[in-house]
Amino acid sequence: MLTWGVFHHASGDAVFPIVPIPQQTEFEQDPIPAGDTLICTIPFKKAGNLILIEGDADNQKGSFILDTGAPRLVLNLTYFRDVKARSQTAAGGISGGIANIMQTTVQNFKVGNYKYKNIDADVVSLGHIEDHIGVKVLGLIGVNMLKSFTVMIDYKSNLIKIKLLKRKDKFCFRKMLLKDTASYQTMQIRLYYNKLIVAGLMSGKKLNFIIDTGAESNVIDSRLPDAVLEKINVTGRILLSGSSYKKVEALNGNAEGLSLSGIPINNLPVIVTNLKDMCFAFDFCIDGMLGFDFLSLHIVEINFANREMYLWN
Amino acid sequence: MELIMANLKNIFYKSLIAVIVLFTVTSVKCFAQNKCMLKNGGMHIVINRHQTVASLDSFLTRYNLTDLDVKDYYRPTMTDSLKAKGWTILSLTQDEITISKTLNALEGFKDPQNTILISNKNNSPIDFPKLSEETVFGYNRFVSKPDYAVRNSEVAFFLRGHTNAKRVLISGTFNNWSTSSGIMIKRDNGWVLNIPLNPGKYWYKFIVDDNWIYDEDNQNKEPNEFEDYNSVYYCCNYTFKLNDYANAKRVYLTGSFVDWDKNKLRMIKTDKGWEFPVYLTNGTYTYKFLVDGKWVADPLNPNKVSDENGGYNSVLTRGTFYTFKLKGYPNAKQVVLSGTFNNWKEGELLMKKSDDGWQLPYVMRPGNYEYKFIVDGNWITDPSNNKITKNDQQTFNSIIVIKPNYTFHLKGHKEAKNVTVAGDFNTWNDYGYPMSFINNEWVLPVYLSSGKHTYKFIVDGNWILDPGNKLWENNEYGTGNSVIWIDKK
Repeated sequence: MLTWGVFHHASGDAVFPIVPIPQQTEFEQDPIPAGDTLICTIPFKKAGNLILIEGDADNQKGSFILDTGAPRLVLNLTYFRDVKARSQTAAGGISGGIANIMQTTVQNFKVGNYKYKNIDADVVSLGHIEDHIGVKVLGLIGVNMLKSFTVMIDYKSNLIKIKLLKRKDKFCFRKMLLKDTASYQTMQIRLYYNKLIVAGLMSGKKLNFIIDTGAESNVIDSRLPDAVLEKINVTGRILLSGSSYKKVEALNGNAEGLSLSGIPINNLPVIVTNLKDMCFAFDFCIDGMLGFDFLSLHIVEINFANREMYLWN
Repeated sequence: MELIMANLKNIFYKSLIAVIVLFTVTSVKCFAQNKCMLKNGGMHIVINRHQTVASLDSFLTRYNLTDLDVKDYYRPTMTDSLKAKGWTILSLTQDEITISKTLNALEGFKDPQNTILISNKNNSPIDFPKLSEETVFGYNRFVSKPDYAVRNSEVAFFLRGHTNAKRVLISGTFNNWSTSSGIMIKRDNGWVLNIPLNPGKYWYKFIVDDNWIYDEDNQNKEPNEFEDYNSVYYCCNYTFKLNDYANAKRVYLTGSFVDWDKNKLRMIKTDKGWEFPVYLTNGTYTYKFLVDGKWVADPLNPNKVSDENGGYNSVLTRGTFYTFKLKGYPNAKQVVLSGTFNNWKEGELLMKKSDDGWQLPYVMRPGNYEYKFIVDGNWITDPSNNKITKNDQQTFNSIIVIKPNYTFHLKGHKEAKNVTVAGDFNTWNDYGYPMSFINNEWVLPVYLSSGKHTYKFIVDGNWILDPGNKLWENNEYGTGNSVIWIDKK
C-alpha cells in the first residue's frame, strides 16, 4: 500500500480480484548513497528474529529494522510526528487500520559508512511492532535504499556486510569468500515495484515469492490451486494478529516439492494464510513470502545490482 | 531348476498375500484416521465418528482445534454450533463428518510493517536477552582471572588479548545491545571499559572489529539459537563471609537460593577467613556453611531458624521492610493483609497486634501494589493512606509504590478535582492511580519496569494525552496514548 499507490478491490470470487490504480510517480527516484566502495561490516542485533541495525535519521539515532518486505524507508510516527509532511496519501478502505500515510523527506540518513541525502520516507505508526518485539524501533530500511549494494546477511554471526557497487561492478562476497561452486547456490531474483521476487514452482504452478527479511516465518497463499495445497502437510491451526485488533485463522505446515529459481527446497515450514491483499499490479500478485525461517538456514547474499541471490552454509 | 521355479512361485504368492493383507490393514487404518488438510482455499477436516474420546482429543489438541464442538457426535445442535463458528458441513455420515472453513485475509496485511507481525513463533529464541528483573540468585565464575573489579558501582569489564584489533566494543543488556557505543579502551594486555551497573543479571558480548564474540574468560554463558553464547555477568550485592577456619581445606556455602546444593558454591579464601559474593534479589533466605563436611551456621548472624535437625539455619533478609500499620481495632480477633503482592491470599499475612493497633513488616520488590486489610472478615482500605483506586468490584483498594523510579507530571489543571494516571502499569485501570497537587502541578511517583509504557491522564473523567510528552501512538479508539521508554542500567 505504501509505494504502489492505492488499490480498490473488486468483490467476487476471482482468484486475484484486483483492479489497479496507476502507480504514483513521486517516488520513482531511488535514494543514492554516498560513501566509499569499501566493504562495510555492520554488526546487528536481533529481536524476534528481525535484523536491527543502528541508523541516524536527521539526528535521531536508534534501531531500524532491515526489511526487504518494505519498498523504502519507513519512519515510526511516534518519534517523527513533527517532521515536515510532503503529502498525505489516503489509504483507508481496504486495510482499514491506517487512514492516512504521511510522507516526508529525510535530509540526512546514515547507516554504516553510508550517507543518504534528501530521501523519501513514509511515516506510519510502528507501535505494534515495538510491542511485538519489545524494542524501540525508529523505522524500517526498505528495498530502494539497498538497490546500489550487494548485501551479505550472516544470521549466525549477527553481521551484515554491504558494499556499494559501481556500474558494471562484478564484485560479490560470494566470489571473494567462495571459490567452490558446489558450496553455494545461485537464485535469480527480480525487482518489481521495489519487491524482491524469486520464481518458485510447485506442482507445475509458477509462484512469486517475495524475499522478506522483515518476516519471521515463511508464508504461502491459501487460495492457490488444490494441486499446490496438497503438497503442504498441515501441522496445526494458528491465529495471526496484525496491526488491527482482529485475529484470523491460518495453518502451519511443511511444503514439499517446491523449487525456487530451479533449486529444490525440501520440507519448507510455512504459514498458510489468505494473501488476497498482496497484489501490486493487476497482473502481479505475491504467492508467498520467504522470511527468517528460510533465510537463516544459510549465509545469504543479495546482489541487487546483478539481481542474484547466493545461498551458502 | 523346476524346484527353484516352484520355490520362487511360492515366495511370489506368499508375498502377494502379504501385500494384500498389508493393503487391507492400511486402508482400514486410512479410513479410521482423522484428517486436517488444505483444500479449496481453506481448512478441510475429516473426523471419524467411531473413535475414542481420547483419540479425538489427541487429534484436536495436536492440530490446535480444541474449540471445535465435535465431541458429542449425535447431539443435534452440534452442526449448529459448528456453523456458528464459521464451518461448513460438507458431509455427515454414520462414519465421518467432513467440515471446511475458508481462511480469511488479515486486515492491512499488505502494509510491509504488518508482515513483520506474521509469525508462528510464540517464543522467539533469545539471541539478545532483555534486562531481567526476574533473576533471584547468581554468582560469577571466571576462568584464569578473578571477578571483574568493581569500584564505586562501576564494573571494569576486561577483554584479554585481541591487541591487534582496531576497535573493540562491549554490547549488552546494560546498553541495549548497542553496536556503536560501549567503545573499549586499549591496554597493554587487552581492552577495558568501566560501566556503572546496579545489582542484577546482565548479558553481554564483545564486538571485536565488527565481529561478535563471547567472553571466553567467563564460564557463565548461555547458549542462543545458533550454538553461540551470550556471556552472563552478575553485579553482586551481597558477600557471605565466614571468619576464621583458616586451616579448613574446603568451605562451601549452601542455602535455599541453591536448593541446598552442597557442592556448588565453593568459598574463596581470604586473609580473614572465607567469602563468597553473590547477587540476591529481595526476599528472605536460609543458609549454612559446610566446613570440611561439617555444618556451621553463620556465627556473625543472630537471625536463625530451626533446621529441624536440632540445629539452626541462618536467615538472611534482603530488601527494606515496609511496615503496614492499621490503627485501632483493639477488639478485632484477626487482621489480615492481602494484596497484589501475594495474589490477594486471604489467610497468609496475619498482622500482629501492636500498642496502638496492628502491624506487619513485609519485604516487597520494587513495584506498584494494591492492598487491603481484612478485619475479622471485612475488607477495608488503609485509613492512613489516601492513595486509592477502584477495583473490578467497584470498591476501593489502597495503593503502595515501592522504590518509585519515575514521576508523572501534569502542569496546571489547578481547579481539577480528581486527576489520575492510567496505563499498562496498572492494566489501564479505569479509575487510574490518583495524582497529588504539589507546587502547581499534579504528580505521581510510580515504579515502571524497563521497556515501553503507554499511559494517559484522567482529569475529572476526561482522558488526555500527556501535554509534556511529545511521544504518543495511536490506540484502538483512535485517541492516542502517551509513550515512554524506561532505560535502566
